[in-house]
Amino acid sequence: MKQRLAKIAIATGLALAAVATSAPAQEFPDKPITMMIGFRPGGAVDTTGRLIAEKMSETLGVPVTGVTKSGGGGTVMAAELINSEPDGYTIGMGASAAYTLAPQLNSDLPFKIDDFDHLATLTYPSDAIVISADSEYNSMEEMIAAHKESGDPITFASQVSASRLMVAAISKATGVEFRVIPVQGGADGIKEVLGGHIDMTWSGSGWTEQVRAGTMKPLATMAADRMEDYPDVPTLLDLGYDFTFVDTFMLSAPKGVPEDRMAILVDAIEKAISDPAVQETLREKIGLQTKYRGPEETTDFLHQQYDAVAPLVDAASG
Amino acid sequence: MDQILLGVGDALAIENVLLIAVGVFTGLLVGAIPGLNGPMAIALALPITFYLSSLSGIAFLIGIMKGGTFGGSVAAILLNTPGSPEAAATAMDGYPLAQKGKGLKAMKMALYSSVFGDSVSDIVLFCVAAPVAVISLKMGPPEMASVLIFALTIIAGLSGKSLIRGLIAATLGGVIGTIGLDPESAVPRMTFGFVQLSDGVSLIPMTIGLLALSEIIVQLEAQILGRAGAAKRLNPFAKEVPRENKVVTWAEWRACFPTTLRSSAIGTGIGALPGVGAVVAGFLGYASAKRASKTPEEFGTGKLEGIAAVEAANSAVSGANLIPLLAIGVPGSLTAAVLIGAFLVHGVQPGPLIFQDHPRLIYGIFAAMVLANIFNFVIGQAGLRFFAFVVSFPNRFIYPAVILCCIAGAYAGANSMFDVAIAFIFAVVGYFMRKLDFSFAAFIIGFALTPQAELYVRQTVILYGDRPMTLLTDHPIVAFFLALTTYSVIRIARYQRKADHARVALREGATSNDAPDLEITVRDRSEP
Repeated sequence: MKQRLAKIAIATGLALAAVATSAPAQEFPDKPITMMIGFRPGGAVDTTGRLIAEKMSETLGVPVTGVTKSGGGGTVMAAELINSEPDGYTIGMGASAAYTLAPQLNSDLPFKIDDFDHLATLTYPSDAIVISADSEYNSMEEMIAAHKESGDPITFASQVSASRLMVAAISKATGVEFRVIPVQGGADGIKEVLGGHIDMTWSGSGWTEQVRAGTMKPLATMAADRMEDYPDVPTLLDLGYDFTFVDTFMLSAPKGVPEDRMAILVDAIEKAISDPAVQETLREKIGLQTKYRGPEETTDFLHQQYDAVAPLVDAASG
Repeated sequence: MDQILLGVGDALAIENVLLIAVGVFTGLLVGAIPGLNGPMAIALALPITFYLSSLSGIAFLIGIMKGGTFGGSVAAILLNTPGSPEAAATAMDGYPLAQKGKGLKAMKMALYSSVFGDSVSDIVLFCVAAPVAVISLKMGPPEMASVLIFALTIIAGLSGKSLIRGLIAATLGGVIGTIGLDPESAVPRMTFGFVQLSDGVSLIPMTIGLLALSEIIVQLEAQILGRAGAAKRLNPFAKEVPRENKVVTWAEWRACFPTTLRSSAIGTGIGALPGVGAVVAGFLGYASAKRASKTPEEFGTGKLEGIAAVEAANSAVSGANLIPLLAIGVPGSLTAAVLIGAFLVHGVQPGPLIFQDHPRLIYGIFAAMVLANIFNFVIGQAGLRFFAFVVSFPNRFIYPAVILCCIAGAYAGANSMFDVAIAFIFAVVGYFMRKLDFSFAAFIIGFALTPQAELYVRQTVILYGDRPMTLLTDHPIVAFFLALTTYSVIRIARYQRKADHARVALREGATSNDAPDLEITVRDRSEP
């Protein structure tokens, strides 16, 4: 008797499981999708995520809810994302440096690029290396040449690992000594440069207002291409330094999301970020450029970024 | 002038006035509930403001910020569990006053000094934001390092009865404060492989556990063991409480006024320096009031001045925090950073040109701040009755509600169960600290100051490591604060020796078991 009951139970269970796996495949999504956001509210990543979430909800017909999971430059979110169910109902909004650079610097991080199904890249900031407007130098070349001659070090306020690698690359190419001073955020770097305590800093945002006010001068950008709004600011590549790093804001999912669900999500994301109104809002309000990449391109991009910084990380730590 | 009037007019629009009132009320409420606090409410409310105009949205958030600064003191005074971290020092004199049946007097003093400190700092913001911002720009890494080193000497004033135990608590706090990524190399320190610790232990879950949950454990223990005396609360509104215990008299206000003014100045100064914060300001205000007082031994036993000292200082931070934000485009605190988000979402770039580009908005915000102060006073005054009513509920209702709020509050900062675990771990730490009489204040100051002090000292070493003596010759601010620190340390050592002599004399003279503090500690520890 007991055995028969057990058999029936197993059979029903299997049948239910079969129904459960087949039914939502057609109807995905049929419940709210959670978008974990790896940075604090109000910042560039958060704003991008919430705008895209809103547009995705319109397309998918279910709410896409932004939930803040901030910390560690997006790595806390990523670490949580790999442990969530790969059913397409949990996605994560983060930044490429969390997948490409952070794991090379911090061996504690329990994830690699390929532990995720990356969905898309969305936006990146218009960044610049800036100095005080009071400085006697007007270009990177001038400043480097002068310090090369005098042998004085350049002090550089760094809030992210990428800018630390950047000065290492410039230093290696030119022989000029840089003293890298850690600061807690882009705003602190700007403050130290404005106060005349540190020569130079890198800023992902906030620098444009200082330049407009005439308090700071941009020397170069880490981006691969020149900025539309500041065509006179050269890239580091233009200046002959083999360094570019664009911390790109992007969406990922845990590894193993069924293909049909991936397709539905990717379509909704592409539609959201292709909306000219969204792009304009992002650019005008928070100075973000849009760069859409699909899942494969995104994964390729991350691997390229990983490989590009690997030798610099080795050099810096060795 | 036109722009000023237009801005003020905007702020007085009925929907804005209502939003500010709602914001202040929300702030008071979340501030008063242990576990929930202002910055958290602002972060949660931010998405709501996307649908409001820029002034309405920002005015609403500022209302929350201002309400939250006073709200935290209510639970600190009535329940001995600070509603928000910066009110931790308010409990030191507030709770003893409440135990004496003077809870309402204490809360009123907290409200008046809070609104006063807030207003002083707003006036500084309105009138002299630009010059103050220039001074704060002049505070480079060595200057900040020297200020923080000096600030660490206030541990002595916060140590409670035993300086040694105060130092131990502060050191432990400091060690906890170094958890996280190394600021220079980004290598994890003491994270034990937990990614969640890479930004360090979060202040809010830690203080929730340390201050609020641990107090509940102590109260429950007292109740279970039948020592109900500790858990009995007096209803501050009860008829049998004499009127003089319900009001702050003009004489009392005047007696505390020098302290209120000093603390307002301290809070404003701390607020104008990016990255120090209201928690430090509150303790600093308390310690300097104690140092200036003729009767320092009365602090901690229920002295009205102690409340004024803390509340004026921690509230004065909120207005001054906006000085670096509005004058140079650099946020001075977490709250200000969230406000930057609100500005950006509404298409306003905070930066040096904000006055030029958006004068009407800025003057509107100023008017909103004044309104928020007024509402804070009015709603606070009316709300005291309500808060006291809530607190007069039996413990079996209060504690579950407070515990729930604490858990929710620990979770809500980063939506993380890890932070809830942090809160519970520190609840146990806090329980033993209460039992063994270790100072929370010293622990929190150690925790709050160490990461900042470390960062600035390391920055200074990188910048001036090859020419350290120039710090004393070319940086007068550094020389001044280091001299002040030296003086303070000598004075503390002298005072301590005198106190030790007095105690030794007392012990030799007395026959009772009037053992010195240290021995009690040892004995308590050896018990299973």
